Amino acid sequence: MKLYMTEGSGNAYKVRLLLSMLDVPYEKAIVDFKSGEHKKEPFLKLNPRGQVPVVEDGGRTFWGSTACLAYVARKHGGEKWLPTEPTAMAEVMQWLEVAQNELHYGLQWARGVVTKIRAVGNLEEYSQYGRNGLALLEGRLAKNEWLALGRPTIADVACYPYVSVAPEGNFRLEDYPAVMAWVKRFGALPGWVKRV
Amino acid sequence: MKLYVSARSGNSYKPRLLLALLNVPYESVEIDLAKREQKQPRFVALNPRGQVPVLEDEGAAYWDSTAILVYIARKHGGEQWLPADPAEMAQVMQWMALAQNEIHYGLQFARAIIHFSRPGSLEECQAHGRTALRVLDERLGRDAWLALGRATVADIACFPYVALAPEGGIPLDPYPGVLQWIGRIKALPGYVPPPSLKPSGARARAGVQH
Repeated sequence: MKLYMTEGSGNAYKVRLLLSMLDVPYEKAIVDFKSGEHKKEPFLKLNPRGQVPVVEDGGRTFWGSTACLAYVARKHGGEKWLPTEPTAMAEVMQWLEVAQNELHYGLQWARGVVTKIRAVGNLEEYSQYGRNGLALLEGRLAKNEWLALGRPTIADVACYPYVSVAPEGNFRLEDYPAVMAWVKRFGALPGWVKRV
Repeated sequence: MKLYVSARSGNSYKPRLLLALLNVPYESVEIDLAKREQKQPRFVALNPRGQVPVLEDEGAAYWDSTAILVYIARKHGGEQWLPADPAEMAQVMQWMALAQNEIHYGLQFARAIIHFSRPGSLEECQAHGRTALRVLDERLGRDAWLALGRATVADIACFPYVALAPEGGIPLDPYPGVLQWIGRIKALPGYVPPPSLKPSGARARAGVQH
């Protein structure tokens, strides 16, 4: 299995986390964002959106963090990280979608503007989305240790990276104590790896 | 099975379309977005995000269009609409993620800025939207469907806001593969049409506001 990534990408970090937690060996292919490698051929053949992560395995490629997580979880995680029973799977998917919505264009983009990774955008709008996302997680995690199914799943893996660096986008995690406790719990899981 | 929807919501339309294609009976509950019924405590108890759609089934509630599509597909669609095999599932998921990203904050938001006074940069949204259409058109220039050579929840998730793109100021004529795919979806047995801003006779008579 080959993972196309950058060291700094939070979305690639999601896949690195899961691979590490499942103890799956893989090859890292570092994509050079500075030279715009991700927006040129041959990378665009792998992912027409021109983004990391991409997983290559058995002659197939999968792009986007959600699809990569689903692939790894289904291939190596049994029914634990992404079950296929309808109610359990839907519960996990809800939080994967929060990761793709409020956390993505809230936390991730606000951080992008603040740290000048992102050239354009409305910080106020992103900040509001981000706070909505954190409030949503706080409501859930005040009553549950994990986002879905009472155990770690790819729901947690998908939400963790941009929540854990939310302060870099000027979000105050102190206002979300249950989220902070969950970040700590997640960081203590066997196989957890550092972002960079 | 009970589905909380808004007639004008493209995200509500996704599960409506899948349920229609699978011929699954359900009860539809209309939430009045103009009266902000979706932000009332009774509804927020079902979905903390305060959005439609929400699906209630066997005592549990599911929110988010992707999760609801997954639930319906796994419960009623066998292995056809969302298979459990890792590679097949990931191929479907790729396009569901596109629906939640470039299509969502591109095509959907552009339409909302023009028609529902949503704040935001129309130019930025349209640029994201055109990225989505380029990626879809490349795919659909070679394949009849987005994943697995057949209709799956990938198509259902992407279809509504792509079909409605012209209402966001993005004509579809430069994307012939996309246009043909729209035609194929419309020809699926059980198909029901997406919400449109064009006042249909029935809707005008019912006094539905957009």
